[in-house]
Amino acid sequence: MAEARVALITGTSRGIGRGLAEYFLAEGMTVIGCGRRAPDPPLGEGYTHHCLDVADEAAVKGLFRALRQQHGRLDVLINNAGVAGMNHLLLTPIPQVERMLATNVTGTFLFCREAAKLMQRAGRGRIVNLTTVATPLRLAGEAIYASSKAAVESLTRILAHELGPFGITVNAIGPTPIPTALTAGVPEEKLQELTKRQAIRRTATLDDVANVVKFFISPASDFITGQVIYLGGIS
Amino acid sequence: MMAGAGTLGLAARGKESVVLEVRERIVELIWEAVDALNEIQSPEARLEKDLEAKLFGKGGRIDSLGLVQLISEIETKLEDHFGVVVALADERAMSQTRSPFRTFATLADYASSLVMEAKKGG
Repeated sequence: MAEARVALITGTSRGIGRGLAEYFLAEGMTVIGCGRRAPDPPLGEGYTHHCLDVADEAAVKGLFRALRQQHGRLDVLINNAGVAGMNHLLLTPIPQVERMLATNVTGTFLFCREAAKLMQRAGRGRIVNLTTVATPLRLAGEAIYASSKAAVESLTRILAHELGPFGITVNAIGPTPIPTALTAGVPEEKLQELTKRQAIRRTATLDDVANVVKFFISPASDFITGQVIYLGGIS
Repeated sequence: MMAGAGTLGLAARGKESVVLEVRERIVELIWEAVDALNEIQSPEARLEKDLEAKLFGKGGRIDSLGLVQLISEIETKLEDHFGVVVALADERAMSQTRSPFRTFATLADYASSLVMEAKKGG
């Protein structure tokens, strides 16, 4: 029997990250997750959690050291951890800007770099980054969040070129709002306004996200890289 | 005075032997990295474990992408073995008039100096 695929997902404490971890575990994959808090209730057998801040280089390197010792390989990385925040430019404090850039940009970069070191040994790997429709929609009030995800999209496209020769694909998915903790603070009328701009007007579900992720990480998708797919018909 | 000089001499020899030990271990780690790299290379691109053979640059056996893979694999091994994080290909290495990537021997020397520096700092 083939050894289970090993997947690393950032931000598994709740929301999409937790949902994807459950989905991968159900598929028989070995899942390593991380986040500032452990998932509550805990995830089942086959799941290992590391409590850390994704932008903390020393802690992230520690996670990868443990991963190398325990599994010696990594097949899939999902960069899901993210911080969102709505605010008008005139009212946005710098600590909020720094927090978003650290988690969304530095964190994604760091995990891509460390994962690629491990994946290149095998000559294959799948990286999927999470972005947002706030970037292509140029949503007012989301200047820093959308900018941080624009950086993630650039990283995705450039790393696709840098890692292509090693058999590693890098893609991104931009979900429309899903009812999670990340969108809990967004006013209802803002969410409705956003939905009206979609080709298909409904909120996304975890299954919608998992469907695209499943496509990106499929062994058959080894010629799909540098792509950003938005849900709901946003482009 | 003699005793003082003798003690100093011993301390110096001790340091020297630590450096030699570290370099020796680094060479072993470099060969492990070469083995890992050779496993995924085509037969004609495989590297020989020869300390003095030209590695990168004019007449070198490895291209820039191969160097990136080799360096990243060695950095990971240094981190796992010595518990220190070193950047072998930072601005400092790139700005040296004599590149540390000319041969495996120069690479081992450079890596040893960085590891010793990191160990002292840590």
